[in-house]
Amino acid sequence: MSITTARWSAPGLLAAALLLAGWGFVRRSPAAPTAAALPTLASTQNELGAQIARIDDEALKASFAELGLPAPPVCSGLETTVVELVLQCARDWSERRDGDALGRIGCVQLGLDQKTEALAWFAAAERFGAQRERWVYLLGATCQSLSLDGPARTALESARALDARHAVTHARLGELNLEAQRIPEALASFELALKLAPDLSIAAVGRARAQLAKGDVQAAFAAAQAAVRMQPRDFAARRVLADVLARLGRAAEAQREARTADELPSYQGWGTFDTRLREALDESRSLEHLPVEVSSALAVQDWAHARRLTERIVARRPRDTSALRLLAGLCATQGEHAQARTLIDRALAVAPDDTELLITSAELAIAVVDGERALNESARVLARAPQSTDARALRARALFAARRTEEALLELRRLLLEVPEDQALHELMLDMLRRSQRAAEARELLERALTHKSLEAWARAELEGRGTPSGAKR
Amino acid sequence: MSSPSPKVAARSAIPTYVAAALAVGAGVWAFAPLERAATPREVGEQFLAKHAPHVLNASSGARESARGLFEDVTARAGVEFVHDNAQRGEFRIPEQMGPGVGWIDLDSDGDLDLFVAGGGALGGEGAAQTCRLWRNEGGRFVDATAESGAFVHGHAFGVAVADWDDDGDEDLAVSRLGSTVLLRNDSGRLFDVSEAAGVRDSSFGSSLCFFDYDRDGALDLYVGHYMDWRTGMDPKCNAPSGARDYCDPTRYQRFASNVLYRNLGGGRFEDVSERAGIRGAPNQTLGVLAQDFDGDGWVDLYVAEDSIPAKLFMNQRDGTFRESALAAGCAFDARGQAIAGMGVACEDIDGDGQFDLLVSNIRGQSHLALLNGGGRFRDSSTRLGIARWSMGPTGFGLVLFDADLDGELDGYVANGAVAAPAQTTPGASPYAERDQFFGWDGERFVDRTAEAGFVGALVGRGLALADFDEDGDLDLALANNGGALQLLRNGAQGAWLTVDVRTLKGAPALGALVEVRCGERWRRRVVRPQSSYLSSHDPRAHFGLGAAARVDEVRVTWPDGARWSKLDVAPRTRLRVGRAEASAASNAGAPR
Repeated sequence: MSITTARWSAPGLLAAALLLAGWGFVRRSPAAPTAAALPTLASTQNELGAQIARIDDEALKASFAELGLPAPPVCSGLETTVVELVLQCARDWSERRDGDALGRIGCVQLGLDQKTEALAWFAAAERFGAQRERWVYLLGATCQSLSLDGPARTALESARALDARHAVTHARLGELNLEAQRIPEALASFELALKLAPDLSIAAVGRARAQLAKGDVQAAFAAAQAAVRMQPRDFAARRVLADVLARLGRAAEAQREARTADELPSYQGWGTFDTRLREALDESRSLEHLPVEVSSALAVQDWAHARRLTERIVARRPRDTSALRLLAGLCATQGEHAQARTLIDRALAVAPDDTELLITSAELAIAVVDGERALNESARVLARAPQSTDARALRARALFAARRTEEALLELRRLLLEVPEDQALHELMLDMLRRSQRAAEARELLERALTHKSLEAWARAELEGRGTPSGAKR
Repeated sequence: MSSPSPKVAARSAIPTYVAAALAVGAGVWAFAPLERAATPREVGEQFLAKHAPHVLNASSGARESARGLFEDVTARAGVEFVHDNAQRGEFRIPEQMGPGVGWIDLDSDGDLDLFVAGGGALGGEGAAQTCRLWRNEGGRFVDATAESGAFVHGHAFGVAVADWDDDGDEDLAVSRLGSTVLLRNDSGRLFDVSEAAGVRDSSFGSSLCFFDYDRDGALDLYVGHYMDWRTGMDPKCNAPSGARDYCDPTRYQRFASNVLYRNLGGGRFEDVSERAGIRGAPNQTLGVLAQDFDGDGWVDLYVAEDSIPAKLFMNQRDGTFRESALAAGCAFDARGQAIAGMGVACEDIDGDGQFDLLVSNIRGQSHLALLNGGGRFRDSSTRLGIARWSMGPTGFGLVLFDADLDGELDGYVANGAVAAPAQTTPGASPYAERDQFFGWDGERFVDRTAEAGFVGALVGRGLALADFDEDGDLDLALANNGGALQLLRNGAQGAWLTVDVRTLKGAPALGALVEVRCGERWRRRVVRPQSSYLSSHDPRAHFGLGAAARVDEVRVTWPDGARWSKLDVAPRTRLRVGRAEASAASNAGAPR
């Protein structure tokens, strides 16, 4: 029987083809997702009141290997909430092949400041996840922070192709181009970033640096000035302006700008300009990046932001006396003395003999003119550090708050005999004298200070009425 | 029934042909060998293997390899010392910083003896661990602390070795928590002469170095200070896990002032910091290095500062310095940030005849490579490949030397963290980090730790080079914080040349320039024992010769301009050249 005559064979062959194709699909389909056998998570509380994970890390590592996943972070000792996230992501991959869960573990690694380990997770997330642009961007940003410029460029160019409207991607590519001395490309990238986000100071700074590298000092000067106008408290903007001024031969101005830059935090927090990075870190649930953010916020005197961040720390570490003390200070700065008192009392309940806490407590009492408490707390501080100038100055302030002005001034006079060139003590004394209407003594103090070289400028400024607000230092 | 015509039959069979073709295709596809889909783990590993292979190497567990360049011979050499860092749970910052280590030919027998800074009590709470000294007896070390008078008390940090009294033997200076100690060597015995010499700075000393800044022939002393630290002033800080940890220095804001002592001769020094213009800017110094960066014949100073701008004191040739780091481009890294500068190495990295800088840095930031162009520096960390592998750990001691004798510079970094990481290994110090060995691959420095054999994996701090077994290559002394002092013997096989440049009195001639030519290529070293971190090296200039069959020319230039040269020197030669052998002396200034 020839095939040309066997008409009946067509449906049969078709059916066979379908069967074979079906079998092929079954063979090729990923292994059916199964529930992962992950080790049990237990939790203990540490001295800060934080919940800390206890888990069999070796078993966890084996489970991840079985699931075909990169190595997990060492989870024992991390905060439980972070480990819960890692385990949930592993389950999401195991049960429904959620590729974005891989990226979330990458965020955890990033939050733990384990950037190279994060790379493996982001690379996997880019392959298997639905949020491809997000993961390829984070892959590029992380490579860049590790100075892996080649892969950073590749990843960021992919991210740019997927989302050309993300200004920070262009700015990052500008940085890479600048590093590679590809000045025209760098300038183009920074210009594009600024077109998309006119207030992106990192791009403005990059543009100035690129102009400087190009040798166009005047254009660099204009760009640096624009960067400083955009963000006057941006360390990098001040720095590039100093560099440009130095190149213009304006040494004194360059030094002044450099000094201004030095007073600013050189690292202004993880997500200062990169909101995607900030989101990734927040998603990690790790607290590691928060102290840097708090320091940055404090340095730029953004009390409200510093407070929000510190509140997050306190919520997770209710017995962290450093955080409680900081939060109390921030509340006091915003005039919420009652809340500050509650917080500092909470901290003192944890560490009743902590000198720093006692100082803050005394400061609070002085701020609300609670003389008795101020005296009590300052006496405890002094008992712990009887030779400390700071402790004795605090005692003097407490005495002043308790309206024992003569004793306060006597204590300060004694201190000034021991450390005659201490400007902070002079400021404090001047403040007390002025507040107690003793103009003649205040003038006498300043005139005596004029005899000390190190105090001369300050004293002269005070005498001429150009002084800074008094009592600022101690 | 008539049969259909062949044409009709063929047309009617078309569906069958199509179905048959589909069935065959489906069969081939269905039974074809499967190409297994990559797992996320494989995708991640492929990425790291391609772009960050050092990460995979570091995690492969190859901490110690039996066959590599370095071998730990500490026990065999008879050196037994475990640094007491005074960690008592109070997290005081000085606990983290020591110790330093130095090589000194105390008994003037030609080989190098070993001195290490002690630790122990802080703030008078108990007995200190004294400094220790071992005499080198043919590669075996014998404890000679007591007989040599090396038992300096107090928590010590930096070590500097030089013949400061110009009597022909090597003396010492040691920085401490408290006053700097000046030790004079009299016939192999050390005497504390600090008080009589007028060395009275009192602070938290770090690295220190001897150099002749005023070209009067006497070695002056520069002492770096870390901060103005007092007991009870350490703030409280926490690690990511919430546990108590050491604070970042920026939390202190207790800057110190470094000190320059001018050597007046006759065993007397004078504090000239103010007059010389080196006081003023705040210091948080960890590393110091003396070198003539602009080639004017007068030695300048680079000061590595922790988290504040670095300083560059350019010698004004009139007994003063001008701080010029900002203008010279070495105050910050390329991004304009002050680095956490720790150890400093200085060699002619790019072969242009000018001495460049490499500064170790904290975890998360690249070590800083500054290429020198006539006294102006450019951050070339990325270009030189250093940023690719140096961001993981925290580097302290740092040396550049030709470890494998191939004619190119290699380097070693003693690593050890200052803050506990989020992830710690149970039973190990949270601050322990694996050291790194790196080498030049023709284009850039690459991580070669995997082929180094043994590298330290404790809390590395001081690091000093010396050919202590006199086999022609440079070995290492590695001082670990709170851990054992380690001696790493270098087992390189290859050709080398050492040039031991001496003063008129027969001591190492600090500041002398040694140039070696093989074919068209010149290599240069300066006799500069003090570099790295808190440490002092073998003063002999050492060169690996690679494939060169001979050394065509050796030139030596003393700091006073006197010169000496020799043609056709055989490999594996130890040259010792005294100042008296120099052909002519000149005060016109040292050559480039």
